[in-house]
Amino acid sequence: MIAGNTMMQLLNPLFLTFKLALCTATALLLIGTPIAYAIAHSRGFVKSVSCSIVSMPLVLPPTVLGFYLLLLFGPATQSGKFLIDVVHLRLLFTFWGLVVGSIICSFPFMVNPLIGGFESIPHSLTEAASTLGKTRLQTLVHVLLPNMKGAILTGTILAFSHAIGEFGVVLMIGGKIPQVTRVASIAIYDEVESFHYQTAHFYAGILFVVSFLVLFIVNSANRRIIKPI
Amino acid sequence: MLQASIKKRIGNKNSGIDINLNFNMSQGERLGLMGSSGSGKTSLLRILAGLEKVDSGKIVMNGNPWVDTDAKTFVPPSHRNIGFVFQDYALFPNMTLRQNLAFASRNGSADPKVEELLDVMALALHADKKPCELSGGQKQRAALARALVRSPQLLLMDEPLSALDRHTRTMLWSELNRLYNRYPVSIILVSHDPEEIEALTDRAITIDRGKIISVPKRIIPVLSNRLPIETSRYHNNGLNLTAVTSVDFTHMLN
Repeated sequence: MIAGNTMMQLLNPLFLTFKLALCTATALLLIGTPIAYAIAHSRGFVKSVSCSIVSMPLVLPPTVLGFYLLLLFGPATQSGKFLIDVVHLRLLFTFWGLVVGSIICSFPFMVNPLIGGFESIPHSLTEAASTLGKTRLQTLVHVLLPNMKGAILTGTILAFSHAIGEFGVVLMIGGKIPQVTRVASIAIYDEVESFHYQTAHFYAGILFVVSFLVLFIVNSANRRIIKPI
Repeated sequence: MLQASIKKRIGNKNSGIDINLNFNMSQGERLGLMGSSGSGKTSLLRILAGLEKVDSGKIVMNGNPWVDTDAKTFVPPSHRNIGFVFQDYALFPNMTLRQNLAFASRNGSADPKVEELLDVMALALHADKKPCELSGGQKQRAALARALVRSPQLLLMDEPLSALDRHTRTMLWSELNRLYNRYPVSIILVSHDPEEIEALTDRAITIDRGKIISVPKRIIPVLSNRLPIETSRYHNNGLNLTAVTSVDFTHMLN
């Protein structure tokens, strides 16, 4: 059907894409939850600054982020040299470099819903837990997180979906190395440049359907999960 | 048992109030706190619970300092062994009633006091229901059971019956008194309702703009026509009637 490609080679960008999205969403859930908790419980100037930093990837062109990450991870800067020579961590043009870039780009898509989730929980629940002798961690695990399942689901799915479609940062720090960093969004661009419209259609169609299904599931699940507190 | 001498500024310069309170409480005593909205009753409860900090002062409980601004001592709410019944009950919506009590208990679901309190509070049939499936009276009883499951040394109740209709409230008064006889604990109860204070407490103080005042004697005979109020409990400190009318007595006087 599509000349010159075996099925595995054809599907590889899709596997890489979903692997990247899964790693990004999982990492963001673990990193984003304590950060969102801290921001939701901060006040005034600190809160304004924190919220602005978190939302920066929404307004910055991905190429700007990609450029700075290229410098940060590359051997031309002290930070890059430190990562490569001391930590022995090579991130440029590797899959894990893509994950780091994708985490930064998808950060607001996870953290902002989580901040909203924490803020939607009545303060008296946290206070009740503290008068019942519970630590902050116990309150977080047993009271706050179970009462913001909708926000957690929304954040996870948005981060996952955004990571599926990430292009600019991925191209800047990962290039398009087959089976390493050539994710579906890059593959589409590549195939269009080479006038392989059928292959581009294949990838684009799958991303289109998956994106719709993901949003449909989020909306349906949220209606079931979110109950007034 | 409890000695408090506290100062705190609440709100902004123009509309805020200065809380300046000194009072003692003995073991097992039930103290009623009355006052108009914004008089500082809830703030006092929150300060005693450790949910708010004072600007200066001391709170000593059974010889242990909970707050001492000079010595920079502050015991967090989780270490005070108190029970707090919130106005909105603050039951955890993700847990059933039994789970709410088990979570509060030091021994978890293995604590026999969980089942005992569910029985005593007539909640055993609803133990596996979530708070959203309960009536207002059931929620109130559940909040009280949860506060008692840890055997607190001080129970703080912030207008716990205010969201209920009058019939349910008066029914709960006898239940609360029955419960107090079974689990004698020092209680501070905030309420707007003088009848409720009379029914549930041993002694009442009125707070106005952060200062303690008392109910003047001359309103007591009027009330005592309708209620078994012991006027000797209250102390006339010479305040005029205007200070008291901010407390809602009107439904009783009609």
